[in-house]
Amino acid sequence: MRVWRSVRVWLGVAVLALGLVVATGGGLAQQKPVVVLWQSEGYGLEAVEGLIESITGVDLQVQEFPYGDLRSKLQTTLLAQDPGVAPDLTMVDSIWLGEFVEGGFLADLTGVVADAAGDWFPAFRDGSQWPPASGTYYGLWYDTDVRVTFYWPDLLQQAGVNPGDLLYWDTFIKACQQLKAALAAQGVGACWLDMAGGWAPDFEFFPYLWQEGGEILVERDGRLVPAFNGEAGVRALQFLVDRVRAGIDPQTQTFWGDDFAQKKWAVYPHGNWAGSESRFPGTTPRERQQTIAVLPLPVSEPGRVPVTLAGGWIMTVPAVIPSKAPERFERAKAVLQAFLRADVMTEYYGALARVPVRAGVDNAVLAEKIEFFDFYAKMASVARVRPAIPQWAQVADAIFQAMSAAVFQGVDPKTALDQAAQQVERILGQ
Amino acid sequence: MAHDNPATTDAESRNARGGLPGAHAQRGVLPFPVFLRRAFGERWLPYWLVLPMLALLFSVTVFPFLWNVWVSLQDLRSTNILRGAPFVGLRNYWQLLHDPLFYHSLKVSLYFVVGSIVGQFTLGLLIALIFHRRPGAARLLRPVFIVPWILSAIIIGYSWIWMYDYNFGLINAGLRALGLPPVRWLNDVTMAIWALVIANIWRGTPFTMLFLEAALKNIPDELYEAAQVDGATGWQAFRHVTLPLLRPAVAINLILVTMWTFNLFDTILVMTQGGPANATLTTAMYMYNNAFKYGLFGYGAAITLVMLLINAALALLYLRTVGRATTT
Repeated sequence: MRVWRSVRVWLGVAVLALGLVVATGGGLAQQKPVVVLWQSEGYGLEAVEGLIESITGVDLQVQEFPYGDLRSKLQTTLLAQDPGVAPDLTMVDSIWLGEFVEGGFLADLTGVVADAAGDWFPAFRDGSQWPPASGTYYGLWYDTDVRVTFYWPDLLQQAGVNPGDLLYWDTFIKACQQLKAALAAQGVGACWLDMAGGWAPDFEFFPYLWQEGGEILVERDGRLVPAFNGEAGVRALQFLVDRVRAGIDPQTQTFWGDDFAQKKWAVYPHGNWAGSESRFPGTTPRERQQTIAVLPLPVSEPGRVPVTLAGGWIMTVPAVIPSKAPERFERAKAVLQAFLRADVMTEYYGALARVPVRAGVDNAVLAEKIEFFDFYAKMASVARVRPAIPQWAQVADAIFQAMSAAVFQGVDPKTALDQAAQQVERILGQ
Repeated sequence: MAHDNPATTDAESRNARGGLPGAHAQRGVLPFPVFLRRAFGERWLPYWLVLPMLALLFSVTVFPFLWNVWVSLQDLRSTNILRGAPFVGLRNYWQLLHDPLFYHSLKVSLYFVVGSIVGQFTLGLLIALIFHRRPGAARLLRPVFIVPWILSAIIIGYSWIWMYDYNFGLINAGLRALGLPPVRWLNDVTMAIWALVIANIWRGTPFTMLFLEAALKNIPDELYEAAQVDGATGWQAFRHVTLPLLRPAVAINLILVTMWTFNLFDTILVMTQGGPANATLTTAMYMYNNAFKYGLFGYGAAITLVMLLINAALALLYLRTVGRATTT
């Protein structure tokens, strides 16, 4: 009995030891150095994880956070100024750049990325620097998204609407009214109009402001001042008011394209992700191109050049890494440089259907993998970006309040924008 | 003579061994083992023993409060937090006093709190009375009625978003089926706050119901029997027996519900984010925007302290009002 008990104990110890050996990869194999990268949920750097690991020889560990949490998580973590808790690399939303640089959270990466930035489209190259176009890089803007008009051709056909009508403001409004009359009975919305939150100006105001020749902010006497309340801004906001008055209901909840994929809307001005596989799971790019269609955002009159807004992400390194963990900085640099290689970025864009920010990637490969690729790439090359100033969230909110006042409270667009401009002047002056 | 009392004798003998507490208390001696009393001193021992708990309380309540006061006196932002923020004294409070959006948020909060409390309290009391009178129905329905209270605020928010949706929502589908025009519940500057109030009443009523039902159970049946003997009607019994005896519970319930509703933030964040056109921008939401969305930590801290003062004032007001009513 005693012998049997002893055998069982030794057997247990042997199994445990074997398990440990297996779990640690044999114990004798050399450990790869680890590089930790933080990203926003759904922006899968893990798609090229293996490729980067094979180039650099590091163990790249990608950690995801929900979009809303990443900013505060980064701030609280980097505040500790402890490399023990900071990631080696992180992505930041392009509109956070000013706030993070001014806060002293990010490392100057000019020496690491400036050369690679040579074939970047100008908006993204400038937007990777702080102040913009100053020559000081804090990372590199590596992917983007563009705002376009999606539609279901079969629904337009059913309502007798010509897709070309969606190209100009006045015909766009008439087409929406026609669609509403034809599709309301079957529970399908006509034209999506986003008034759901602080991002609404990205969809419903800034692109039209730029098309009309306006600017959000301009520099005067060495300081930024609001310019969105000029004539171009008033025309852009009037287009929004006209749509609402014509019966296009402003939506205060957004489902980020899921509702379009479920065919609840006939026309859907939105980010290009609304037409991607993430919204149409299990479909190929070719199938999506045969099901839905896409156009530029409407312009006020023939001859105007459609402009879109581009968002996106910047790959960067926390300031605490080069200052307190130089050996980790070397590895982070290696990963960053590997990721910025054209072949790796082609792989990344293709896997995630992201829009390139640069020339030099293999467009033929991407055209096979991304729906409407040529169209998106063309839009990205002429896209405009928002100023990534530290006060951007406040500025965007003030502009959104002007839009809300005009749409929901019937305030005259010029008055609403002037009030917002006064508020923005105060914000920028603080 | 002391030895005439066997308990005292027993206590003394146990005291000598460092024994039971009751015996020490009788002699005015601390009820703790001798080695502890020797180590810390007879007089200071109780203070030493409560010190860990006081330290814990200080670290999780008093210190954060004092820190919040300190932050509110600085121009602390996400852009200067590493470098050190300048001390600005009362400037954040001065700015707050001249901030029209802050006053707007107070007005919105007032609508939200008053609307929610009236609805929650009326419905909660009504259901509590029915359950008190009909224990069988209470056993059956109570678990169902409690569901909104145990659900997460985020889930409640999303559920109501879907129900309120203008095009596809359940409520408008019902209205259409009845031949009534659909309502822009969350898209209308006048309607949005009341849509939030309805959702909040739905969520909060079970708490008031449970709270008042428990209080009703503490009212002795004899009082109702006496009232009946005196010829009181049902309404008179409610007016002169139930309500006066419920007052302390009502006061506590109102204090809790007022503070929770005034501070409520998650459901609003999910459902409207303060919109449309700031129509649902409560003070809690405004504080969140400033502190966490805009990174203005100093200003956000000042708003928090003003909210704390408002909460304290409301609690005092309730306690005084109900206290006065109970004594008269």
